[in-house]
Amino acid sequence: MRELLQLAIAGAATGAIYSLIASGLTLSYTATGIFNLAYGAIAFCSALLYYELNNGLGWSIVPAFLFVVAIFCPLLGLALNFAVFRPLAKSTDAAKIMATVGLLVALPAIARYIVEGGISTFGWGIPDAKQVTLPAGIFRSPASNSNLWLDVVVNSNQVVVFITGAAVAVALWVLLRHTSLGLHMRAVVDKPELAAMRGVNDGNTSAYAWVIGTVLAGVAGVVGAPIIGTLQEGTFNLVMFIAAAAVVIGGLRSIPLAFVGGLGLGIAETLVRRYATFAKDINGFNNSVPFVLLLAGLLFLARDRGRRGGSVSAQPPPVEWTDDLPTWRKNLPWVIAVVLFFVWTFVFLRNNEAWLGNLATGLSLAVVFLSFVIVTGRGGMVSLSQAAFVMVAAFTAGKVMVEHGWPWFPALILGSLAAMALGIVVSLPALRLGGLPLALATLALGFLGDVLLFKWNWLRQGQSGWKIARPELFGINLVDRTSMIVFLGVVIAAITWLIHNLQRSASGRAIIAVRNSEPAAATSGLSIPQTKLGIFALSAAVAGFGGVLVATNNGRITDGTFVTQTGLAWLAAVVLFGIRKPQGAILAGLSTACSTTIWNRGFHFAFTPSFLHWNGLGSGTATYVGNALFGLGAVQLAREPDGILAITAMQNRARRDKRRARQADAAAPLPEGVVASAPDSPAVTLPASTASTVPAAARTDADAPALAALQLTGIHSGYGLVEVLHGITLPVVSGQITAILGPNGAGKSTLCQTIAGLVPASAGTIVHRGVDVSGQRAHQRARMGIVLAPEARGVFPALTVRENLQMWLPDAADRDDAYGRFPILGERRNLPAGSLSGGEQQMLTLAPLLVKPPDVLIADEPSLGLAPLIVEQILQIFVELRARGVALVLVEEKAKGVLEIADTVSFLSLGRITWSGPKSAVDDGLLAQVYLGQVEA
Amino acid sequence: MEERLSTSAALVHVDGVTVRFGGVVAVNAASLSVPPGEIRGLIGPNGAGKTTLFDTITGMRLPTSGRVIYDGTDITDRSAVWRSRNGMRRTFQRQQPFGWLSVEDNVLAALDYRGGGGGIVADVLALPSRRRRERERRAKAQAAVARCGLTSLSGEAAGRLSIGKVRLLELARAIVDDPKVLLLDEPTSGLEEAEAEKFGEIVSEVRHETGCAVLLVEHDVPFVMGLCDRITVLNLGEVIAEGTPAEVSSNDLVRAAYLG
Ligand SMILES: Nc1ncnc2c1ncn2[C@@H]1O[C@H](COP(=O)(O)OP(=O)(O)OP(=O)(O)O)[C@@H](O)[C@H]1O
Ligand SMILES: [Mg+2]
Repeated sequence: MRELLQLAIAGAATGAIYSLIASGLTLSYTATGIFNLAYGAIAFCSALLYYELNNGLGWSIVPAFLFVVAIFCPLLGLALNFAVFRPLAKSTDAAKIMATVGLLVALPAIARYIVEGGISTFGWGIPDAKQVTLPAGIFRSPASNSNLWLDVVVNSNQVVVFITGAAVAVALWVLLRHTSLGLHMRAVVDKPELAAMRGVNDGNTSAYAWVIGTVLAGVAGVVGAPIIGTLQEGTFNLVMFIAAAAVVIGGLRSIPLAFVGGLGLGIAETLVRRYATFAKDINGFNNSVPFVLLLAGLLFLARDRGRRGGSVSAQPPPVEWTDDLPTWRKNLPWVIAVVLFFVWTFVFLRNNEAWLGNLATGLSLAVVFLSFVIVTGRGGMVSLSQAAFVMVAAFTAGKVMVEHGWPWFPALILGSLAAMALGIVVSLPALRLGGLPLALATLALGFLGDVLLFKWNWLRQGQSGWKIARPELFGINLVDRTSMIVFLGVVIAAITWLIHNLQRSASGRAIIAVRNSEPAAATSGLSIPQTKLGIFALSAAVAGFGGVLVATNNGRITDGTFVTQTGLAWLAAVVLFGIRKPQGAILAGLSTACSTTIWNRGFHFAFTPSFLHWNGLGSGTATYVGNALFGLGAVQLAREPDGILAITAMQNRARRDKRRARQADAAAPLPEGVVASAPDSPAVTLPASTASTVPAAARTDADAPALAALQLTGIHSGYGLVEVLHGITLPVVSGQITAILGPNGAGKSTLCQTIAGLVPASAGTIVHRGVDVSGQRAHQRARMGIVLAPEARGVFPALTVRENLQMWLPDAADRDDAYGRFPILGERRNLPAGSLSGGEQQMLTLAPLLVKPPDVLIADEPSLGLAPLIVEQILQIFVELRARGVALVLVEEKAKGVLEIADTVSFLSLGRITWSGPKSAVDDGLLAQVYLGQVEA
Repeated sequence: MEERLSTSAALVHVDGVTVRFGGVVAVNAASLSVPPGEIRGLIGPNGAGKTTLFDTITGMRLPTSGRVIYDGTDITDRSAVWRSRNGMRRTFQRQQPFGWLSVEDNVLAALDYRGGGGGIVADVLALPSRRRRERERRAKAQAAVARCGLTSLSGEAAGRLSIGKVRLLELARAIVDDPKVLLLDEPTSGLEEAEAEKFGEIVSEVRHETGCAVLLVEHDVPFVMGLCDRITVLNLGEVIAEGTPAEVSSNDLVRAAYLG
C-alpha cells in the first residue's frame, strides 16, 4: 500500500507535464476550434530558444525566460494567427488538422535551420543543442531532490512543473467558463457570423486565443524541458501526443478534467512500469500505455451526444476550375508531363544511377501517397497511420521472402493484404468517430504500431530488418532502374484508373454521401460502416502495396525506416500538391524523394550549361529546408483540396473567363435593366404619415434621421462572381414594420446579410441614422444597433441556452424576462442549444432580440418552423416593439402572418424590388399577380 | 426469426414509446398505428417530440422503452439502414442533401444498395455487369427526379440548390425506392404557398400509385388539414388527440395546446 502511494505520487509528478500541456491544448481547442498538433513543436522551439539564450549566450534565467514567454511566444502567436489560423477558421476539420500537421513539420525545421545554419554559416558561438540530455529549467539546475513524507522523493523540476500546471489550469478554467472573453471565444468557434452579429470582433478573440495558446506552449516547453530530458522535436511531439490523451479524457473541453487526466496518465504509466511484470518480455509494452488510454478515451468519448437530425448544413462542392474544358483539354497537360518525364528519364538520365534511384523512390512513394487520395481526398477522413500500413506490409513481405523463400510478387500481394487487415482494424474507430477524434485515434494506433507491433522481433527481425532484393518479374529485370521506373509507372497508372472507377461508381457516391450527411446516408439504405471500412481497407492496401515497393527500392526494411511521424511529413507533402487528385500524390512523391538530394547536393546535369549547376546547401541543413518548405506549403494550402495545382488552375480559369467575357461583349452587349423597373428607382411609396415627399437622397441628411433609421440606396451584392441583388433602394423607418416578401431564390436572405454586413455590397450605400455604415463590418454594425436574426438556427449549438442568451443579455434580469416569455427555454436553460428542437431553436434565435431590441431589427423568416400559437405570440411582440420605436424588417416567404401587422410592404423578385407600398394597398389581386408572376419566372 | 406480432392492419405501429434525454422526456409512452395507404398528420407544439418520434421510427434513435412494429415485425432493434432498405424512407426537418453530388446522383445513391454483390471491389474494377445494373437504376432515379420537377436541375450540385428545391430533392430521394412508408418532417417549411401545394400533390399521387403510408409533421395547419386522412396530436411527448382533421381542429385540448 505504502509503495503504491509512493509510486502514485511520483507518477503524478511526472504527469504534471502532461497536465500542463493538456490544459493549454484544451484551451486552444475550445477557444479556436483548432486542435493544435503543432503544440509540441512550439514548445520545442521555445525550449530551444531558451536553451540557446540561457546556455549558449549565458543570459540568466529570468531575462531568458521572460524573453521567450513574453516576447517570442506572443509574437509567434500573433504571426501564426494572422498567417495561418485566422484564414482557417471556417475550413473543414480535415483542413485544420492538415495545416497543424504542416506546422508541426515546419517549425522545428526552421528553428534547427536557424541555429545550425547560424553556426555553420556565420560561425555563431552557440551549441547546436542536438545532444543535450538534461536541459536546465527555470529553477535549480541540476535539480534538487526533496523528500516528501513516506520517503517519496520528488525533484525541484517536478515541483515547478506541478505548480505551473495547477496555476495554469485554474487560470484557464476561469478564463473560459467565467469571463465574457471566454464566452466570446467559444461563441466565435461555434458560429463566427452569429458572434459578429452579437457585436463580437472575431479577429480579436482569435488573436487573444492564439497568443495565450502559444505562450502556454512556450511555458510548457521551457518548464518541461528538464523533465522531457532532451531537446529533440520528436520527443516533444511524443509528449504532446500523450498529453492529447488527457485532453480527450477531458472530453476535448474540460480543463479541470484534462488536468486530472494528465496526472492520471503519469500515475498509470508509473504503475504499469512497476506492476505489469507479466508484460516484461513484450517490447515496448510500457510505452504503449498512453496510446491505449488515448484510444480508449476516444472510443468512450464517441458516445452520441448530439441530435441525430444532423448538424451539417448543405455543403456546396469544391470548385472544379477546369470544368469548362473538354476532357481531352483537361488531360492534355498531364499527358505532356508524362511524356516529358519518360523522355527525360530515358534520354538524359539513362546513366545517372543516383537520379534514377531518386525517381524510382519517388514513384514508389507516390504509390503510398495515392492512399491519402483515397482516404482523405475522397473519403474526407484524416488518417495519420499510413506509415503503419507501409511498415506492416513491408515487414510481412520481407519475412515471407527471407524465411519462407516466397517469390517477390506473391510476397507483395501478401504484404498488401496484411496492410489491408490492419486497415480494417484502424477503421474500427472510424465507425464511431469522425473529424478530429478519428485523426487522433489513427494517430494513437500508429504510435501503438511504432512502440509495440514493430518492436516485435518475430515481425521485425531485430535491428537489421529484412532484406528485400529487386526481383525479376515476368522476364523484366527490376534491378535495372529504368525498368523499375517503367514498372512503377504502370502500377501508378493502374491505381489511378482504379481510383477513377471508384469515383464514378456506387461506392464512390456512397463515400461522398456518408461524408456529406451520415443521417441521410443511413436512411437512404447506405451502410456507413461498410463504406468507411471499404475506404480504409482499400487505402491501407494501396499504402501497403506502395510500402513493399518502397522497401524493394531501398533494398531493406527495418523498424526505424518509417515511423508515424514520417507519415505526418508525408501528409504535409501530399496536401501541398493537392490531396484530391492522383496527380497531387505523384508530384508529392517525386518531390519528396528528390528534394533532399537537391537541397543537399544541388544539381549538375550533364546536359545543362554549367551556370545552371548548383552545389546545394550541404548535408547538414538540407532536410530542414525541405521540411520547412513542405510544412509551410501545407499550412498555406490546407484549405485548398487541390493544393498548389489549384493555384495555377485558378489563374488559368480566370484568364479563360476574362477572354470569354471579352468575346461576349464584342458579340452582343447585354441590355441594361432587363426587368421593367429600373434598378435604382423602384416604386417606393411610403405611407402618407411619413412624408414620403422627401426625396431618397435627402433622407441621408442629418436633419432627417427620424424618417429612416436605415436607408439602403442602390445596393448591389452577391457571392463571388454571381450578383444576387441588382440595386435595392429601401427606407426602413423607426416605429414601423417593413415586410419584405418574395419567393425562394429572390435574394431575401442575401439582402438581410448585406444589411447586417455579412455579405459586402459591391455598390450602393447603407446609411444608419445619418451615418454611412457601408464600410463597417458586421460586429461594428451590430454595436451600432443593426442586428439580424438569421434564417434557421441563429443559435450557438455548442453553448447552453443560458450562454446563448448571455451573448446578448449579460444581465440575469433580462434573461429571466426571456424565460418568462418562452418558458420552454427556461426549462432547457442548461442544455446545449444544438439539442433543442427546430422550433425551440427558432425561439432562442428571437428571444434575446425581443427582450432587448436593437435600433433596427431584421428578422429573416421569423416564423419558420414555429407552431401557430408561438407565431401569434411573436407577431404580438413585434407589434409591441414597433410601439417602442424599433425599426423592424420582417422577411418572409409566406405572406399570411406578416401582412396582418406590416405597415409597408416590398416584394422582392430576382434581386429587384418589384412593388413597394403601404400595406393598405396590398390585396389578394396584387398578391396573386405578384406571386404568380414570380412563380412563372 | 420473425414472429408475427400483430394481426391488425397497421403497417407502422408505435407501441408505448418513451424517449428520455437525461432529465428531458421528449416522447412519453406514445402509441399510434398507421395503416397502409393512409396519410397521417403529426402535429403539436414545438418540442412536443415529433422529430424525436420520427428518429425512433426510422431507427436513428433507440427508445428508452416501448416498441416499434413494422409490417407485423418488432423492429425496435433494427438499424436505420435495415429499415430504409425495407421500405421506410424519410426527409429531414433540417435539410440533409448530399451537397457534393448532383441532384440525379443524390437520388441514385438512395437506390445504390441494390447494386448487387461485389461491393467496392467490383466498383473499383468497373465490372461490366455492375455498370449495366447501374444504368437500370439510373433510369429509375431519373423518373423520380422528373416526378418532382427537378429534371432541368438534374446535373446541378445539390449543395447549390435553394431551400425549396432541396425539399423536393429530399422527396425524390425518399420516393425513388417505392417505399412502403414515407416520413416527412416539416417538408414545406421555407416553401412558398405554390410550391407547398405542388409538394402536397406529389405526395398524394405517390400514395395513390403505390399505396404507401405517409407520416407528415407540419406546422402549416391548412396544408395538413387539406392533405391528411387522419391526424395525431402530440403535446409534451404524449398523444393528446387523434382523429380526422375536422375532429382534431374542434378538439378543445388541441386548440389550447397548439392551434390557439
Ligand atoms: N439530444 C437531446 N438532448 C436533450 N434534449 C433533447 C435532445 N433531443 C431533443 N431534445 C428535447 O426533446 C424535445 C423534443 O424534441 P423534438 O425535436 O422531437 O421536437 P419537435 O416536436 O420536433 O419540435 P419542433 O416542432 O420544434 O421541430 C425538445 O424539447 C428537445 O429540447
Ligand atoms: Mg421537429
